[in-house]
Amino acid sequence: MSVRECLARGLAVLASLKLTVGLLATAIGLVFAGTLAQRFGGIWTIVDKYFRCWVAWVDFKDIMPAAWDVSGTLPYPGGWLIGGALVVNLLVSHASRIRLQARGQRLALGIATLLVGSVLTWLVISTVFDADSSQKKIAPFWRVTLQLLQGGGVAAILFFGCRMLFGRKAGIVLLHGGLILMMATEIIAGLLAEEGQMTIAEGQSSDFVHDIRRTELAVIDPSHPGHDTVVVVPEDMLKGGEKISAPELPFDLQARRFLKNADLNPIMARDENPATAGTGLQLIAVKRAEESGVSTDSRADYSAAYVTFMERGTGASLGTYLTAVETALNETPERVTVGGKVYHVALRFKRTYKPYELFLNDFRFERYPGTDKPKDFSSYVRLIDRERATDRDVRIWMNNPMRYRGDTIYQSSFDSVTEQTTVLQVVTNSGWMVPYVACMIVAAGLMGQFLMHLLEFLRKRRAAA
Amino acid sequence: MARVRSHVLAGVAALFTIIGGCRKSEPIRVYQAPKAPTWTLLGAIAPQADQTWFFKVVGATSRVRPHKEDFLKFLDSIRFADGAVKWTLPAGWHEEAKSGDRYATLCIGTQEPHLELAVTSLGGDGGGLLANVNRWRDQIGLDRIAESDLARKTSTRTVEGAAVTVVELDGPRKPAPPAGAAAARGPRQDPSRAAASMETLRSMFTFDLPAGWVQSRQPEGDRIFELRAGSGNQSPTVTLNIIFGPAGGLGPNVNRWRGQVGLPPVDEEQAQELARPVSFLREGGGSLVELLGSERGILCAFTLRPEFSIFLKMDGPAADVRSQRDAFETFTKSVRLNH
Repeated sequence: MSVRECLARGLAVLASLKLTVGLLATAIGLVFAGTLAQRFGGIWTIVDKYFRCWVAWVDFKDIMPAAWDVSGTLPYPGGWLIGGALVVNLLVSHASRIRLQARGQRLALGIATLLVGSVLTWLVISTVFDADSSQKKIAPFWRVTLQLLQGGGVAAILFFGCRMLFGRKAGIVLLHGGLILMMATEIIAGLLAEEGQMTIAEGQSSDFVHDIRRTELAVIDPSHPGHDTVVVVPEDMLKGGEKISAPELPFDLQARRFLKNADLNPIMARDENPATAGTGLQLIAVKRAEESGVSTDSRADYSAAYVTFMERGTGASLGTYLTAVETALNETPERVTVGGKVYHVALRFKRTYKPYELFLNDFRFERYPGTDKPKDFSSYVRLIDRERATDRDVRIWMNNPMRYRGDTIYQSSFDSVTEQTTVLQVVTNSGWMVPYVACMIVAAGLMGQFLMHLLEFLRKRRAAA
Repeated sequence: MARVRSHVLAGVAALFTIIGGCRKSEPIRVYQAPKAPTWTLLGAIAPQADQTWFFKVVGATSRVRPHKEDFLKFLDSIRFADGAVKWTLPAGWHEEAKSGDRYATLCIGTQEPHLELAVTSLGGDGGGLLANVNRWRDQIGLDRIAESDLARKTSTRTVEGAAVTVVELDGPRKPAPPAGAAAARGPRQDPSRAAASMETLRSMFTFDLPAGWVQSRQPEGDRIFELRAGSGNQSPTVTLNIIFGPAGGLGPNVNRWRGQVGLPPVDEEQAQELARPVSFLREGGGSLVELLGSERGILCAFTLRPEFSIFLKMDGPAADVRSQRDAFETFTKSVRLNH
């Protein structure tokens, strides 16, 4: 077989509808396995393990009844692989089945229209027209309507471009383009989006978010009067259990034991204690099952680790300390001294500092009168950004986030005991407009295709009459 | 063709394995971060004949420090008489309605949320000066000190001819409010919100009521629930309380209870030996201490955690507490936290 024939066969396979059906069936299997796996794993663990990867290593015990006690893993196409293959399948099938219908001037105009539409789409997605919503006093209904209208506007321009280039198949090309854009959202979010929580009590402020899905070991040098110098070691490096020696760190360290989820209990004389210093002399970490995706508690995993610190070069032990998210939340870091200098060490939720701070003036929680049913909860915050000389009051409430500096800040939760602490969800996702625009493009493609068929049908009927 | 297909399949399988082994990994990062806010506790401990008085205000350093002079003037104005205490409020302070276990709550200034000075008392020496100073140090994330450091870490003020120990602490940790803080809050809080907060807490606990025990429908203050182990007014009371934070640790709490039943204090090691494991809230999750004085007895099951500590305590005449020991332990094992 010649190279050309091989290529033709390969493209035929890639464009095949059988491949599309096969990939969709594979996706169904992946979703099914991921759903069952949530019995034993946290939702974000399963998302990373099954969907935000190229290959998912499916544990038999995740998908089989517990009584069967089957062990082993099976490699299975991950979410990104299936999605990527679907996109390739779609593009190749378009290339092989849909031909350009335009020539000459019409072709040039069609391409120009598509280019203009694409540029405008990019501008809308990059929220040039909606940069900072915290200043605008627009009702939520009109704000969302405006965003959909922007998406609809660019979709209409793209439709006209497709109509000029692809004739009667314009709608199909456009709606498939919208589907590809929608699938691209997941890749963009998976690779670039960051999400975290900002917990603020009334009368207090916060300038960082923490990601409760991941932990980090922070080694803090507090010696400078104006700031702290922080070195963070990610969770994945600790879990490996190997000795970590890096020029950024003031000492070497090794996690003897890492517990994804643990309780801290007072230590009793009968307990075997790995710690030789610090809080670990009073508390012991006891392993607890990872919070499952089907748990109704929605509690995060509180990790703990026994970490040995060693002098660089000599390897002399500086002690084995119990570091735990629970103690970090209580602002009680371990103190490790090396070379006469004290460093604070804490295993904490992964932290990202923001260039602005939010001061909580007031948190209000309203119930429907005479009931315990929540009606609304709002955070009245003061946004302070010294870099941009910004200092203004903002209200954040359910389904009405604040957008500032590329972050979208939602009212997520609150402390149900004191009702004076707010929990804000801070999402950094530069592609947040993509789903709006993609939906409008798909809708425009569908409506355009149906409208073209309807008009043709009516024209034929009139001609027949 | 079959050979091509098998080669292709083998290639895809190899690719799978290679891709499956590739995982993204995060590097070690270095950055500068702003200093975390600090918290200041201004407190005073005033031992009297048969009880010890505690005065404490705690909050963000930027809010508490400006009121230090007023706090000292307030201390100088205190007068003790017949088991009660009176004072002169500095300008800008006001007293709120009595609530919970506090003797009084004084609000400092008008800025919301209020800065509160809590006035409480404990019987006898209240557990001792060192234990209480360390309890306060613990609340704002400072290391404990030894007896020999007390004089250096505190100061003394003379009020009505008696020595009052003044404690001034700056720490990294925001102290948590007591469990009933929402219920104990003053007029600013909508009463229905306060009640709803306590109801939320109370709904988290379930238990099997032993035969002959009676549950109070209106627990006092910030008690989660309150029972009587018997029908008489002198029957031992059984209460469950939550304190946010580690509550001072095992030793200070054991000594506080020992003081209440008239027993001498013990050291940390002896306190650990007194606490035996018991299933409380979950399997193997707590400790139980039994303290019987000549007149008064206390049984206490507890769990001490950095985040919060829960105490289930029976308190009453020593003979009655002794006779209810088995019933209390069975009751302890039935208490579950549904959250």
